[in-house]
Amino acid sequence: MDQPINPDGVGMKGGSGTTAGTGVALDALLARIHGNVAAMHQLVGLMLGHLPGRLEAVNAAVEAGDADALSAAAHSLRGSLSNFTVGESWTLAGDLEAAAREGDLVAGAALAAALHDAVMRVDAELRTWLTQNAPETTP
Amino acid sequence: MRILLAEAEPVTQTLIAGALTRWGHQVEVVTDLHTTWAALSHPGAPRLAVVASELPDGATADVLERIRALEKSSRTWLIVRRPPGASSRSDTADDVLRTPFDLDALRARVHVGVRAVAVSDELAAAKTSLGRLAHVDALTGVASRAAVLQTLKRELARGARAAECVSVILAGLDGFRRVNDAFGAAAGDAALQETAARIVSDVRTYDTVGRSDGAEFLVVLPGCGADGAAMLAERLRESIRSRALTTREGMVALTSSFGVATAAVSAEADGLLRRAASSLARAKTLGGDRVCGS
Repeated sequence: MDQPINPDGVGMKGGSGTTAGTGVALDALLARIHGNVAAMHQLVGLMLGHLPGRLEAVNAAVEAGDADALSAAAHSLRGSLSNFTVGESWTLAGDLEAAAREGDLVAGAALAAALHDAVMRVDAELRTWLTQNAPETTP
Repeated sequence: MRILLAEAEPVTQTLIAGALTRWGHQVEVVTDLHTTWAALSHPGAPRLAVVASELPDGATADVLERIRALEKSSRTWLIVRRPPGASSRSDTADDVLRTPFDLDALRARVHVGVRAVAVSDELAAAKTSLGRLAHVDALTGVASRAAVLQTLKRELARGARAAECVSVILAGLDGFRRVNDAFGAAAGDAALQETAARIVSDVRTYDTVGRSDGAEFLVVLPGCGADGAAMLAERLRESIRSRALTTREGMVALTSSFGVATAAVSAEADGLLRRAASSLARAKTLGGDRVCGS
């Protein structure tokens, strides 16, 4: 596979392609930011740092039976995911937001569980990318 | 350029802020509607803003409509960032950026916004200049004929309300045509400029000096009676007579004639000007270099 243009990264390897199921397209994101692997590291790190909090907000809203909070949490999570994927997790977040907005907390709980699993797969994908693209250390 | 970024989603915020900063812009980041409104509603607001279509604490569309409704001298170019799947239509946005976006798309939209702001500023400056030209005599810098006549009407109306008199002095350079014939139009222009400057420096700060016609100047003196106006006219006459006017072609010695008229309460501008013109004509007929009153 051709490596993306990398004007800013030093000694870095390229990204991975789209993982079946997660819809995460890191190569596409890297291309959209002009192959800036350093920036990509920052964005992936930022996303990994925020995902637990976003998932926690969804879970808390489900447990509290708070449809408004659930809708807001799902919307926020969807927004965060959209920079990396418009696949499974992004779709589920949208479905969850819609269900919560209609007050359907039963469907919401099921969707939240499915979303959690989907987001954990995205999380794993992002961590794999970080590992595969760690900066080379000087011997 | 100063750019406001209203974005609560941290990854998108980092992406956009980082790119804008790398491109040399000064980025101000806000994360909610209240702060967005505060940042964009005051006169010193950034001229370009990238605003997420869904910000916490309310409806972004409503806030953007309120911003548009503000009568501000400097309008902010609004780029609205919309999530995937959302409509691109917007009645308030100048441009729309859909996520996921690439940096080229963002840069192109920012470039359009920067250019639009520059064109808007150029138009505003041109409009100001044109407006100024309508009120200022381009050669001498004193009020234009239209502007000084407007001032006269306004002062007469004010004088009528306050039961105060208004005087006018119509000043004309004697033999001005000789200056143009002998020294050229440039010398004539310089003589007019210096005459205007001397008149301006001798009148009160709240008097208005305007160029009435060719080589004539009209001075509007609110709250000044006939005696005061005559004294001022004498002072102006002496100022022009006693020192030759400086031009690039040499020193030009000129004298001037003055027609003075004072309005009774509720006088009309036309009548007052006719009396001043008649007095000026009499001063010239009598040989110039003198003040005549009506």
